[in-house]
This record gives sequence, structure tokens and C-alpha cells, in this order.
Amino acid sequence: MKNLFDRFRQTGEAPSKTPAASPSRGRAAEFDRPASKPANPVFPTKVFREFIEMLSRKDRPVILDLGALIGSNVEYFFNLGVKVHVEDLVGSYQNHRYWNLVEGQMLFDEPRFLEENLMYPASTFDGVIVWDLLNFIEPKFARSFVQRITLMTKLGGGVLAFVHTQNPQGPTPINKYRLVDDSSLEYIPSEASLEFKKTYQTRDITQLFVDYPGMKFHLLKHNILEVLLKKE
Amino acid sequence: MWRTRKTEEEKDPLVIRKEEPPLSPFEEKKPMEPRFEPRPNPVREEVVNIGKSVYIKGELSGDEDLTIEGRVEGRIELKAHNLVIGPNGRINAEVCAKNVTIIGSVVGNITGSEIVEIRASGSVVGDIKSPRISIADGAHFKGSVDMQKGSEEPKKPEFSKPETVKPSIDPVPLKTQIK
Repeated sequence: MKNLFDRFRQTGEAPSKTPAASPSRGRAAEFDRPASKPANPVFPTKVFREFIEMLSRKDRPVILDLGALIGSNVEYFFNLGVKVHVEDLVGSYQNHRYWNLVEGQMLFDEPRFLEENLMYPASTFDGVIVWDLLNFIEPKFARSFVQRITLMTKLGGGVLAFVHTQNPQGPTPINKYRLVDDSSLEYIPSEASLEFKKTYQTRDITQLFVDYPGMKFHLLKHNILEVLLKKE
Repeated sequence: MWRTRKTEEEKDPLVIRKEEPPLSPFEEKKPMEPRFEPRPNPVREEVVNIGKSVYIKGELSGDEDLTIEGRVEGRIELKAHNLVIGPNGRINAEVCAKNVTIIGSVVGNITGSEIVEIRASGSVVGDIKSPRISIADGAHFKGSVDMQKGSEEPKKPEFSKPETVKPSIDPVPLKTQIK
């Protein structure tokens, strides 16, 4: 099936985000929403285009988006012909059902969380987008989280992550990232009440993602490290 | 208001139009009036509304647009028509329609032959198959979106087979793509 990836391959033009249009939507057409302009800071991204290029080489690519839901991002990949699975781990991680009070301390129920949110068959996804979740989950959970993702990622697939390399000054909400185009991201502070846990440097990522020999790092001006990891 | 009902009659064979006897010269000619025969299933011509107090369990199918504000469990099929799940709608069903708009809540897989839209207050837990989608900011969604109908569920690969990478057609070097 000819899709936008074919045009991307031939011309190098990334598909622009066009609003869904259908002439026969009846009453629902009354509620069409206008295209929104970024209301938050927009930063360049270098790895997204590479991530999309990697997907474009797959036959019927399938990705997993683990961040807070941004509908336009899902639409973006959908319009590229990518099958998108969405798991809002930001929302799930805050769910009290995964936190148990044990001897005066709140303990995270890792097995239950993984079973209820990341129980996909092995080698399901060509791409997994982690966003900046790593900075906001318990560091000891990060390893089993990465192991689970590794299992679900196909050989030749990739993981895309954004990690903070410096401790923030003051309360820092986890971000939602809206794709403005294939080289720009709007950073949207979310309302999620997740606490910043740990910074990650290049060596930390290398140690965490041991099954990913292919790694690309781009450090942006605002101390966000963009990481594209390829499972080969 | 006078409205022709030919299309209706063609759709619904239960509507029987009674033949009017010819007027005798002694009868007064009555003014032109719209004539409506009682129909066994009175429904609106254009959109059917299921109110919020209604609970349906089973298969719901039809041949006109439908707005649901109530609860439905089972299956909803409106192949050539539009389905709107209103803000009070609570659906636990497989859904299949031409255009599907979710303002309430759906738990179940959704197939739209034209478009599936999730509004800001909408919530979907399930897989969506449609050639077009629209997901508003603030919507809740857990599942997958796929453009192709009948796509297979993910299955375990054979690890003994190496992944083959298909070369792209007419590859363009990345350098030339940078603006």
C-alpha cells in the first residue's frame, strides 16, 4: 500500500501534519478543531528524523508510545502508515494500585505494573518511544523496565529516549512532547505529579541499554540528551 | 411541513400507503395536508438517539445515523452510517461504523470505514482500525491505531530467521534532505 513513507523515501520530505478530513461525518463535523500553534517552548530534535528513517525501512512498522498521550503525535505516525500502540505509562505510574505501603514506605509493585502495562509478545515493535520517563521512575525499576522494552523490541528495531542530564532547579514536571514537525518538538509541562528521580549521562545509558550496540546521542542546549538506540 | 416520503418507503417496507378513494362531487375538497400514516417503529428520519437512561445488551445494528447517550454492551454495527458516542455514552462493545465520534467512553475495538475521532472528553480502551483518525488533546486512549483492516495481531517471530532489511526505492542521501 502506497503511503507517506513512500513519498518520504523518494523526496526526503517528511509528511506534514494535515487535519483529518472526511466530507460525510455528519454532526461530528460541527466540532472540527482548528490547527493549534505551539503555546510552549519549541526545541529542535535531531534524532526524530533518524527514528522515522529507521521506521521507513521496515515493512508495516509498529511502534509503542509510552508517554502521556499526544493525539497529534499518534496521528503523525499513523499518517505515515505506522501502527501505533499507546500506553500512557505516565498516567499508569501514578496509579495507587501499583504503590503499597510497606513498613511506612511506599513501595512500587514492579511485577504488577509490568504485567498490566507492558505485557506484549516478544519482538513486537520496530520502535519504542520512552520520552523522558527514565528520569521520573525509580532508578532500581529502570533496569527491569529496560529489560522488558528490550524483549518487546524487534531485532533491528530502536528505542528513542530523551533524558535530562542535569538536576533541575526547583520542581520539574515530566514533559509531554508534541511533534511540530520531524525536526522540532514542543515541550509541554504535564500536570502529572511525578517526582524527578535521577539524571542520566551517556555512560548511564550505555550501561542500562546493554543489548543495543548501536547508539546515537545528541546533547541539546537545554541539557536534554536525545538517544536513539538500535537493537542489532 | 410537506415532505416527500418516497425514500422512506423504499427503505421501510412496513410503511403502507393507503390508496385514497376518489372524491365525490358532493364532498368538500379538503385543503392539502401532509399525510402521515402511523408507522409500527416510529424513528427519526435522519438520526436516532439513544437516551442516557437506556441500557442495551446485545447486538445493535441499523441503517441510519445513531447517537448513543446510554449504555450498550455487545456489538454496534452501522456499516454505512455515522455513530456518535455522546458525553454520557458508556459503551462496552465492538463498534463498526462509517464515521465514529467518541465524546463519552468506549471499551472495545472500533472499526471506522472513513474516520474515527476521539474528542477531548472521550475515552477509548481498545484497538482502532480506520483509514483516518483524529485524537484531541485531553482524550484518553489505550490501545492501538492501525490504518489497515484485517491486520494481524503481533505474534512471536522466529528468532532463527535474521531480520531482512528491504532497500528503499530510489534512496535519497540524507544530506540532500536537510533544509
